[in-house]
Amino acid sequence: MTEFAGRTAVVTGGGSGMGRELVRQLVAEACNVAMCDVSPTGLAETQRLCEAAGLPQGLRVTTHIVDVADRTQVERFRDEVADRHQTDKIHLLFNNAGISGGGSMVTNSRDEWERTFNICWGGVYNCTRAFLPMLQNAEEGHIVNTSSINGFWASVGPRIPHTAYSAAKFAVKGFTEALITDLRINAPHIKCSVVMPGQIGTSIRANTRKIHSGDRESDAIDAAGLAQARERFALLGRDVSQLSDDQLRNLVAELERRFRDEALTSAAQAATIILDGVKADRWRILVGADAHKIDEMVRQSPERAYDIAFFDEFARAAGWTERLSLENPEFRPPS
Amino acid sequence: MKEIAGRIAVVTGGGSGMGRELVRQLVAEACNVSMCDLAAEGMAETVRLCEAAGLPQGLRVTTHIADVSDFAQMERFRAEVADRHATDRIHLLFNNAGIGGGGSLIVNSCEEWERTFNVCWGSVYNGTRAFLPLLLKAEEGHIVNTSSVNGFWASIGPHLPQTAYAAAKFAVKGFTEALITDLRINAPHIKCSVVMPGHIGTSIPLNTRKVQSGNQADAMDATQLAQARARFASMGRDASTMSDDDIRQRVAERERRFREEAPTSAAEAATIILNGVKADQWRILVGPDAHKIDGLVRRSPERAYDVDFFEQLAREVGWRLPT
Repeated sequence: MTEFAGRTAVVTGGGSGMGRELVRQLVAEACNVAMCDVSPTGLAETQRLCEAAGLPQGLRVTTHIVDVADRTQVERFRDEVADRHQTDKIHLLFNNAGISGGGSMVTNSRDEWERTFNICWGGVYNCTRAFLPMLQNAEEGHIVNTSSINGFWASVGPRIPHTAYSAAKFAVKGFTEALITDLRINAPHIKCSVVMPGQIGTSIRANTRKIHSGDRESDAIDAAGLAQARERFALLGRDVSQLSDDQLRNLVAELERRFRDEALTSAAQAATIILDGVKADRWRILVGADAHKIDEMVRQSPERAYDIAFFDEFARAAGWTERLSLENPEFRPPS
Repeated sequence: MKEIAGRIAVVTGGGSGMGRELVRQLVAEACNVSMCDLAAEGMAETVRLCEAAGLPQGLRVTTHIADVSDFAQMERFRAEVADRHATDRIHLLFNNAGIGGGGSLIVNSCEEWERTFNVCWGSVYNGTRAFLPLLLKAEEGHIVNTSSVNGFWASIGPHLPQTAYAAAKFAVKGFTEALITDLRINAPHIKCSVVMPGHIGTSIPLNTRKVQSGNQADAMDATQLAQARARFASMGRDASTMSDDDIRQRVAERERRFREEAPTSAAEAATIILNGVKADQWRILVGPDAHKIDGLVRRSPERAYDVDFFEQLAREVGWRLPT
């Protein structure tokens, strides 16, 4: 799809991160957008940013409170889009919403594990199924599913378990790749792409904490959030036992800020790469230099992909060493 | 895990195919086995084959009816294993059960799609979640999750959609690979492996037909005939001129050839899997076709769903285009 102007796009997770930047760039190209999120304040801020940049005359930008893990809510979202955009068709579907957490089958609760899986995988599946009829009604359509480098490499390093997110992101990748054939046979006017970002400057860490704590709007770090932070620091080998709860809160907030503001690739840059990929009809969209690097390394030596030495080599080459040293200033990969 | 004798293994889908051959070879090595499947007949035949080969003295081989896509049934299965083997631990978990179907998000029903996904992904997730406490108690454990070449290549050719199976098998691969780190940190006495078979001579087409129609009989009923017609149509073939008997014959012939003309037999596959477990390999490709596809996809991922990529692959691995 080379032209977005005048089309209608649906973006999940539009209240922050890559979702917000996708919305802003789509709107700047005069594409109508319906976005959803679990956070009303996030959606309102995205809307405000679009309006501040100047909305093209007559363009519709609508916001919808939806939990993508819940099929009933997703179906309601579809009906709202049809109603508020006065249409029976959409052209672009960005299944972007995602959170992390539930990394361990052994130490995390089943509820937390399944919440992560159901948002990251269920979100993509539910929305694709719900919006497919509206894509079929369009003269041209494109489904853009956000997987991750964790869609082909099930790791964020040898010290942090990452099972729920990886299982879900692999599923998104396999699903989208299989859709290529399904659509070619059964709906050839619809294309699809799988997006595999590396580390992008988003609020995924803060969002993960909020959603698992059950309070989506509060920035305050509750007792469960503190306990999880202590666990994560322990896994990374950083001793935080001497820190008070308030000191720990400040540290977590500072790390979330730096994760977002000091990433190798910003959310806006990621959105541009994704939209360029869609315009060029590329089904396989790697986002960021770290994503390209890990793709190459895993394809070259898949058996080594979870060895500690493999990770240290990648971390050095991709600039992740810096990122890890944020969480543990003493962290140095063995040379 | 070098030594399998005297251990306790759980095998899902033990009533046919690779599951049956895993059970037979485990038993031949004097490993106690609990197997589950949807129907009693297949498992009875597996037990009969084990007994015909001679059961080592005192060895326990138990059968259990359980639907792996249902967590409550898997919890009951776990309780039965603990009870019938009088144990609080198992050493080996083979999450092997799987079916095909639900290939198209557009043509197939939502129910069929989700049945396939929930069996193929759910078997691994529910099985692991249910039996992890028994593995944690063992002095040594190994989780063996059966993915597929469709765990890294979401295709069985350019004319057949494969969305439910591929999504589930990718999930199994990612889950298992992430478990490597989780177990290394939190339960280092447990290892895991992801198994990626190519075309293996099993009854998966027949089993798919039975599960998707809710009818465990070998003969095709009206629902199955309609599903077969839809499948032929989805492959661009005109099935309207074929009689029901033509369809039955076509399907039976296809199921027979799938089982008997595969490059790798189910017994060979089971041997490769068990050798991989003994050698502590986490990444187990099964069959020359699996190795070939792995090499091709890693070399040119962008081309993996092009028609000419498949044609080259089919030539090189000796696959025949589905008929």
